[in-house]
Amino acid sequence: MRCHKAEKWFLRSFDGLLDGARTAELEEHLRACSACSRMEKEYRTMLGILRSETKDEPLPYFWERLRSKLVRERKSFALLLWEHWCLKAIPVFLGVVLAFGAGLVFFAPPDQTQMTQSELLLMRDQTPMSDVQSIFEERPGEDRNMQFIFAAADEREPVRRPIP
Amino acid sequence: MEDRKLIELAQEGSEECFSELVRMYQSKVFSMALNFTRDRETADDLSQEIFLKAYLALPKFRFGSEFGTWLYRVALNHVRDFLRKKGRIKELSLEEIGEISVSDGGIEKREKEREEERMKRLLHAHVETLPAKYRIVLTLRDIQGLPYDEISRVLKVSPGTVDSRLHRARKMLRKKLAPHLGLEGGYHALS
Repeated sequence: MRCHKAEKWFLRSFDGLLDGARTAELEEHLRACSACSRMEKEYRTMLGILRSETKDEPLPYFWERLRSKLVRERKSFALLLWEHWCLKAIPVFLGVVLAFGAGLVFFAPPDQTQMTQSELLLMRDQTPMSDVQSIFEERPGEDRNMQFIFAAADEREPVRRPIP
Repeated sequence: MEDRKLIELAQEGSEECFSELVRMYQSKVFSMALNFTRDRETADDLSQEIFLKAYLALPKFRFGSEFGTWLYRVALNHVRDFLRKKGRIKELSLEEIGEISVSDGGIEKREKEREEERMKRLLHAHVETLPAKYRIVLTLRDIQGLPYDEISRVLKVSPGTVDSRLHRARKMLRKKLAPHLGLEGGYHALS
């Protein structure tokens, strides 16, 4: 057995990971090789010291001191959580607004507005002035103005004058 | 009360249950912090911070691993961050440790205990000079006594990686300590 392999094996043996056959082979090598035997003792000493460390207890009133920190932390944590979710909500809100705006711009149905009589006549390539042309030609000035007023009023919804 | 129930109640906000978890794990967490810092007050502060972090992260714990493993992971990450902020570990100075005299069969008990104490300090000082990934594995296995599979879960590496890192860590440590180890009639604690 090579010494390099023996070193690996006796380290495994300290962790209880070596089977019976290999343990016997290792022991035979250690009996024959003084360098490995010395190395094995060094490892044994070193690991013995490390593993002999006792479990330490923290300083007194550990839970009481921790509890006061927990109470403080809970308050600031709630604030942090609120801040965290607000920061996340801002881009989401902006996204929703943009999506809504885009939807309005691209997908909203066109307004169904009613065209006035003049617009209808213009659409039919007729002059809107045809109805009132006769008024221009036949009546005197004052009567003409009155005729225009009544002609305009015909197009609008009748509105009752408010009672004082 | 079984652990799972205890943890679930602590997640719901039960202070009593969380205090029970703290009581169950405070020694382990403190020992680990102490092994890395070698100072009781610093280790105590770190332990408090670790449990605070654990408390805030507790709602995210989904029982994917053992609670102890998860807590060890939180503790290890916190200690790592602390050591990183603290800076590189200074090179060992033997004058700080004191000399180790050769022990022979006729030494008095008190002198032997002093030597053992010095040996321990020397050993821990050398452990501190190891690269972080080897130091962590060595501490978890040989000081904290965690089994290979738990170390593998805590560090999220394969058991093979744990094995190779541990092997390298022990080799490096032995080389550093070789002048002081394995002397005739020396300290043989591992039987």
